[in-house]
Amino acid sequence: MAELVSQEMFLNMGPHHPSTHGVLRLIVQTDGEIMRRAVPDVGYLHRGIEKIAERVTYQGFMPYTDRIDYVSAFSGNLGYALTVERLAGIEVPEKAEYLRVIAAELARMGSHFIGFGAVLLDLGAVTPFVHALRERETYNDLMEMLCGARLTHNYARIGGVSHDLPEGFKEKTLKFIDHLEYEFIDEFNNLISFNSILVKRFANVGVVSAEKAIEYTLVGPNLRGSGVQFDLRRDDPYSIYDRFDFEIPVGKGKFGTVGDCYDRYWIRIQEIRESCRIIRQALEQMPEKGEIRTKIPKVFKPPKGEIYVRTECPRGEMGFYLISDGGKSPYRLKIRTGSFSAMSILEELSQGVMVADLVAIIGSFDIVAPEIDR
Amino acid sequence: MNPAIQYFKNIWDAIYTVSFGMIITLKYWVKEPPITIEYPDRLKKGPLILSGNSLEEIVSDRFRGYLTVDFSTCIGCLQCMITCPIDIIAIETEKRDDVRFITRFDINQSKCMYCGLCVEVCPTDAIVHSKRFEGACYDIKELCIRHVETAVPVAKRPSKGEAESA
Repeated sequence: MAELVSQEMFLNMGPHHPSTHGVLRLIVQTDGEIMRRAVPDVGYLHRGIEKIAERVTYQGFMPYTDRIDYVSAFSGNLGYALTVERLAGIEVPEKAEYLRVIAAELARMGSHFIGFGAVLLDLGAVTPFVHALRERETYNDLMEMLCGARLTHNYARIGGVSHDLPEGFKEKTLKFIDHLEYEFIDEFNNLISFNSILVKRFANVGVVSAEKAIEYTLVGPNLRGSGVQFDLRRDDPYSIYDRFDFEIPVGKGKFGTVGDCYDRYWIRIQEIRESCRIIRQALEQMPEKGEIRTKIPKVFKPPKGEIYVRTECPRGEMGFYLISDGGKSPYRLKIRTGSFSAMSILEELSQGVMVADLVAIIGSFDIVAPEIDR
Repeated sequence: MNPAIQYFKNIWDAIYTVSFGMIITLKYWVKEPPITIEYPDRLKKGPLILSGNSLEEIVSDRFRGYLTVDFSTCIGCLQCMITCPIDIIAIETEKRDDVRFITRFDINQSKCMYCGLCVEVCPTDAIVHSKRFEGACYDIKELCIRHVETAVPVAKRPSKGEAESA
């Protein structure tokens, strides 16, 4: 009897796959249920934001930064505003700095709700996703109170922020972070984090060692999940992050090896606690009255020069490299994002794992497809 | 460990930890009031969790909805048109007998990204965001809203003192 012929099969996962978090295509080479390779093919969501920057004014580009990473729109706002301010040497009023920190930390929490909620949904747990989304809804309401939009906030401006705190915002925020710190996180952990089925799916899957994480330039929670304690908020403080006292959670191999999917997931849950701490301190320290915006001319022309500013976004380091030729719009703007560097490691990480684990690995990196392509 | 014992231990572990989650789910099912409601029901009177009865009440004060223009204060300075990053506002003015008329003021709401930059630059707060957000219609052309049907004379520019106080 002739031997059975078996061959490897190429499959497309995506571009329209529910667990790729957007329009991301993975070319998957499988041998039965074992995966030989998964090559990410990015570019399906390329919108040419960097090119648009060369056509619009400096102020006019601000709404576009919402759309780089729409899950945490304010982080993009903040990074871009800081870049232009540093280039032009604009001072930001004290109160505006506090408002920015509050909005940025709220955005971080809002993003992590989607981040760990969606990965659980990918693995088949629908209930925790709904719980996480309930909290995200409160975050949306808070941002709507603050700036009028629920998703694309466009809250930061060059030289400050657009609106002052509305009435009742402080009380509502304090209530929200109290609820998170003392009720939601513990409840959520009991609901799903310590569930042994989830632990079996996550622990020892997709292990990234610290050396490899640095080699592949992983950033943000993905890097910290591998046990590297690096956070721009502490190590290269921008805005006024040096005034707050917070810890940087790192992966310790809670249920398996350091740097596995569970560590990356666990980091995000712990970061919510730290964000709560920062918001609490910021609300306490914030001056009651003060300017929220430095006036800049309507036709704004920063001096010639180039600058690179990086900020710590929920998905890691977001860098803006800006070249100005002294005109009304940037000569060149390059945006570097965290999800893009997470894509690079996927090919190596996916070798020899089961097909179902690929979903867990992609989800644990918390990628957002528009951020990969810009 | 004996594989058979391990097998049953795994099953026990799964049941034990899932039961924690199930208790929470049960708590929400029995005790907590429902959080989601079907969207249009919010607008009707009846058993409402969120008290709003009209569209204006369910969004916050600063909500950025459809753009509206108040021609009693619009001075036709074209600032909003220049500022708009995606050029959705088209304004034309015409001078006749020393009076400037606004002959065209179109806002393409289907393209608008509700960034609020036009509202910010307006010197007289003539263009503002309303709280309207329901824009479904059968033809996309209906969303290009012509705010001027017949020519409207521009409002007087506020004097400097007035502008600063406003």
